[in-house]
Amino acid sequence: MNTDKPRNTFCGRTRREFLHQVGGGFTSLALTGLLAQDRFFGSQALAADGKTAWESPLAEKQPHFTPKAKRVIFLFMYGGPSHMDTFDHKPDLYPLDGKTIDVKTFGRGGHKNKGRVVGPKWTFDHHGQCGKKISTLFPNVAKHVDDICFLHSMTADSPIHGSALLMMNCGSIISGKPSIGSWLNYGLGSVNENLPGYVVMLERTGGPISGAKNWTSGYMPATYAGTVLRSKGSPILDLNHAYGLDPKEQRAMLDAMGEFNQSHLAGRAGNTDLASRIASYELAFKMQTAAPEAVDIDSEPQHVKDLYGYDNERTGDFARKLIMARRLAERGVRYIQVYSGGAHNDDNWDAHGDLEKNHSFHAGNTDKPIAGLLEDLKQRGMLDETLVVWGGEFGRQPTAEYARGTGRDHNSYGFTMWMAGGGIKGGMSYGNTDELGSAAVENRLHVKNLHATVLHQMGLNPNELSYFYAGLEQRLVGVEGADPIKEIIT
Amino acid sequence: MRKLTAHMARTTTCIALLLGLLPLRSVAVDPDAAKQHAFFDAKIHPLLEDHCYRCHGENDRLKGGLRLTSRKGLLEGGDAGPAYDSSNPEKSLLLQMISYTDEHHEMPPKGKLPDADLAAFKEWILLGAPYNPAREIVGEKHEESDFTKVNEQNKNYWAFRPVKRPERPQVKSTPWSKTAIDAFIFDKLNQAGLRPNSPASRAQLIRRAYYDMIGLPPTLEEVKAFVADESPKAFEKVTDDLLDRPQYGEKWGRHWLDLVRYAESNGYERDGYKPHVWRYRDYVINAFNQDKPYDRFIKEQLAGDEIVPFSPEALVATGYYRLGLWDDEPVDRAQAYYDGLDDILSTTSQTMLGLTVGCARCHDHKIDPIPQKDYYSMVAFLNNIRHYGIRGGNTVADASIRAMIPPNEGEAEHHRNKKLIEKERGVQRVINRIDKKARTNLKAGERDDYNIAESNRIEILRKYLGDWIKQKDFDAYLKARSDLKIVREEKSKSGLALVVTEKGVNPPAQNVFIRGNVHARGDAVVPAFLSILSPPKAAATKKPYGRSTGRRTVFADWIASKDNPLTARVFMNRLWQHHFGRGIVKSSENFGRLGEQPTHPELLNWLAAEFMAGDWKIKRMHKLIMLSRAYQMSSAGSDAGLEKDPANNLFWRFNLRRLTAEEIRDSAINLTGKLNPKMGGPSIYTDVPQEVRATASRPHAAWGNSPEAERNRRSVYIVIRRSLHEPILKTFDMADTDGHCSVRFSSILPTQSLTMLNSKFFNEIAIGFANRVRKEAGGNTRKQVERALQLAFNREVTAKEIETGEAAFKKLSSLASKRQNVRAGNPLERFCLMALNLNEFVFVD
Repeated sequence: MNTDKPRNTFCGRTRREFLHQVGGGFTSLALTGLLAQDRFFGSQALAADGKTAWESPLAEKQPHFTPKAKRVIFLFMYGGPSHMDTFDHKPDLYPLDGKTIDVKTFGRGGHKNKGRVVGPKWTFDHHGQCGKKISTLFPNVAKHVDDICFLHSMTADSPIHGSALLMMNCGSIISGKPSIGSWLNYGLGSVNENLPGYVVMLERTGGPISGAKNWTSGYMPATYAGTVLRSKGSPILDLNHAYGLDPKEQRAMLDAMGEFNQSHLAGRAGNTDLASRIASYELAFKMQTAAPEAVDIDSEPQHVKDLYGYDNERTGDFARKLIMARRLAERGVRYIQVYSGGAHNDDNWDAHGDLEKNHSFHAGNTDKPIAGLLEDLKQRGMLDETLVVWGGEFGRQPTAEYARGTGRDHNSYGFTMWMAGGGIKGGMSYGNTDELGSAAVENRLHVKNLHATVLHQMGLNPNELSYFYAGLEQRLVGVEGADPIKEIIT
Repeated sequence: MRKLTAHMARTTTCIALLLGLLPLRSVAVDPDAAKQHAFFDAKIHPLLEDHCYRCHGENDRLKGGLRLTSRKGLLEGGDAGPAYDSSNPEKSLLLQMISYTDEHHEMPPKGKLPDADLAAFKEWILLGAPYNPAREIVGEKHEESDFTKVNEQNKNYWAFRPVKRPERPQVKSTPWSKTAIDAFIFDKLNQAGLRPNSPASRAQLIRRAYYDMIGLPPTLEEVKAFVADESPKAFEKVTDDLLDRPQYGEKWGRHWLDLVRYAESNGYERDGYKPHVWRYRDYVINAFNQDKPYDRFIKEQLAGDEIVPFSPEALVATGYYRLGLWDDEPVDRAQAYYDGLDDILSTTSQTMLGLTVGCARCHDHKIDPIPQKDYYSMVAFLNNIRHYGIRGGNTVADASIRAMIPPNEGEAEHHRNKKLIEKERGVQRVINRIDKKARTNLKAGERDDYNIAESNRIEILRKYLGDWIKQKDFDAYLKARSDLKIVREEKSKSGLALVVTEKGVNPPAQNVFIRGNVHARGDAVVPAFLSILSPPKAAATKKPYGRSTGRRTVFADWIASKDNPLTARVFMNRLWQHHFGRGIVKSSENFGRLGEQPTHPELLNWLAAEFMAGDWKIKRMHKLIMLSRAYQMSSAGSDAGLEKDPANNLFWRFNLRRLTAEEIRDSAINLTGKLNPKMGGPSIYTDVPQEVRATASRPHAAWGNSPEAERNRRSVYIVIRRSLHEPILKTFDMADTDGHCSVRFSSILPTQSLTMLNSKFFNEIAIGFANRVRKEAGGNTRKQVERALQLAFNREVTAKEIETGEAAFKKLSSLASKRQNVRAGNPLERFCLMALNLNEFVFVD
């Protein structure tokens, strides 16, 4: 594996040139000749004849080295699932239930030095060959522990939803940075130009806090932003005509447009944008067929649907999304993010009040579909090349938030996420929190390490992948850089 | 204190530091030394290798500037200071870091070392931290780039030199020697063996001028009149007319709003609306329309409250400081305050000075001669500003909202407002008392609901009447709420504005923050300007006014000074950029070494000198540019030009461009004849599809809805929410609002085609467009086709074009009659939809 590509020669140019030439708002003049030979964003260029095939700016690009994973499915447990009630077994915590102990915490309620322990509400059993202990909240996921690598020592920079979501999606608690899916599409392009390279599926109750900021392309062109895909009705905004348009009529319109646009083009040689725009209508036409086919769940056989719990009232919605995720993965979508939990309060994993009720609900809705996804990917031989990531923006505290009740406040000092497939070792646990689960103490990981690992598995060097903005070569992992978690990579 | 891991908000390493590593040969023979070397080899070296060298040893990723591979590195230390303290070894930074006793002081980041290893390190430090020279690796100190030093050579960099008007070149072309601009352009082309294009057609030229100046196309009548006007002053008349139109400010004001990342909400979890922020938008539009001198424009935004007390206009201008992101629930308040100042300073320096001063927040700029000390010296002008708010509406009102006082009423009005403010505070105290009670008693989600919106509160309280809230308190709360409304209305009669305020008249101290960390104070600094620009010494303060130090006035005066080499150059470059499609310096936010070098430096100097000679008046400069031959050239291709200069670096032709997001939307509405020219006032909501609203965490509260006439106003008046951008504008590359945007993207994407063909917005436009065409052209198909194309192209159309159109119309008509399962849409509507999708509608020559 060669990671020694010279710096600042990514795809033959620096990001600076990229920004100023293509992003410079004057693509038409900048592209001809100068950029046509450059595969990276010669993407938008084509001969002024208007005939040469148009390539999307998302056209496939070379990775830095041979990737282990071809795509990522990020299952985002918005609100912050409790690690000590799910995957991080803390036996010492049970007998302490109700006792007030000294423990440093920082959450929505601010910094505290003491708290009343809430003993974990579920029991843990051994599973798989590795014998990993998993709580009874996830009986189905538990069957796949031998394919999963648990990261128990995650830390993040913020225990507050707004900034923590940005951190997990965009690598910084300060708003305005591109999200991880944008970085992947910027670095790798898409292998299927008829579909967006980066899609996001949300809960029916609403998006996460800050909405589109979580799938923004930040300072990069909007081309790289996530596309929200709806699981019912027209999957993509404006894919279908607002009032209905017969395909024959559309064809007639496109043909007439072609005639007008060709004669407009005639006197304007060397203006590639004009021809690009002509081609973009044909591509849009193709997307109108490709996108509905990609999300056509009805064509799936019953045994596959059953795998995900599709016909069950509780699990049906998430199952539908995960089946769609698998279909999109098969069709070359690079980054697929599916949210469990939306809107506010108990509509997501943010269990401040009644932990049992909240987590039983959200785990119950997702356990079967997630297990189904892992199984389905495995049966199809896709798991090796599909990196599945599970987790929220942070975890939860071992102690109660209020004088009464079982609710736990946010915890970014230590929490659990897991990865499966895509060149990640299965049946493994990495890092540890203390005996209370209050903070990571062994092999501590930062969100940036998780991001670095995702980029690395996709064939990109996290410390090389950069984009020039505001005088800096910006990176997902920050200018100081971060390493992938080498120990968990096959 | 300091945390050397990744917590830094905006650190700034730009390039790899490639250092040579040279092992030194041991010459030690002393037996004591040999013992120490053995100890180092056995106990310390393995620990350093396992836990430290990855970040504090390797060539190209030395973190915190600390190198632990040699004793020299240990003693020199990094950004946080020496790692070893010889006078008090037990207090050595290295031991503090590995002890994990302070949250900001934790090394190695992966986790605390076992006690035995900690003991070994302590023993070693108490021994005097001896290394075994055989294992030492002394990295060569990185030779700093020559460009980063503040010295005479770098002061001579073109952008840092004083502006001097250059001689205009003598060119051998009569038409191209009439204006200085043309002489500069022609001279360069001539040297490259290229000829400039011939003039654009009249119809092309007037359309270009209209879009550039007002963001809307000319009417057919205006085009015809110009085409027929044979006077040599014909185009000058058009130019003068455009400069006088109020739409000029709407167009050019929008360019400025991109630069200052204008948005109307704060971002983050609540993404709360910024009260009265629209007044700043109107201020900017009016400033352009009034031809406010640019130096004045800058000064009012930076220090209007100090420079012109009691002027509502100048007060509103200081809303400049309140446009950025605001996290009302930050992880670290002290750090968040300086993140806010950094945002202001970075935006100011990129917008007004064309420099990325923000890169020097954590260490000296890696490319340009901007020492970290200069960054904090500039922060010292701003560090008396009150933060936008602490949390919730009252704190924002307190820190950032003030009544505008009409100038003629002056002190009396001020007094009246003071009384109102006192009354408001009294009422607020009652509310605060009960809110506090509610927050103590409410739980989880309900507490959130209570906190998030004032409108929820009375209903929630009512639920607990007789429980923890007494009837008496509840009644008091109801009364206080209604009193508050009255007093606020009373206050707003003179109008409220979002403004900057300061903490008092005594300027606080400022230190350099090591690696940008507010908890790691370095040397003290005083207000000072960028040393590379050889500025005058900053006056300590101007006379303080009210509750501010007057420091911002000093800051503003320097930026807006004729002696500042950057200010005029940077603004003239932007003016050129928006006329010609790109700046003379393409990276118009970065005139430093990482930016692009100017393609026509002399021309830029000439423009800057001329701008200042004309007392910073902007309209005059527009006119000079537009009356040049260079501006009036055709955009057609030429074989020689395309071959020798395909990127058009020398301006042998005019750059064709796609319309901006606002231009596309406004021109579309214009096709229906219903564009509402109403200016100013609170922002409007468009009809955002349900699918888009559903992506917000509060789908029902995500976006409002304005009546149709309001929706038909120009795009510059649409609400700008950071978490939900208007979908049509977003699709066509509106500026992202979290950071400065000098140059917008201009993408061509299939999703844009889907939007223009399929969206409800464009289909309603098509219907309105068709209705207009029917009204103006009658029932005759040929006439309808002609009229639709004229309106889309802003010119007379040819017989051939009408024929093509008619054929398409016929085809659409025959298909419409066979249509199945599709809502009726008549062929004219389809034809109009097709017309507004054409390239000629979307591009301007």
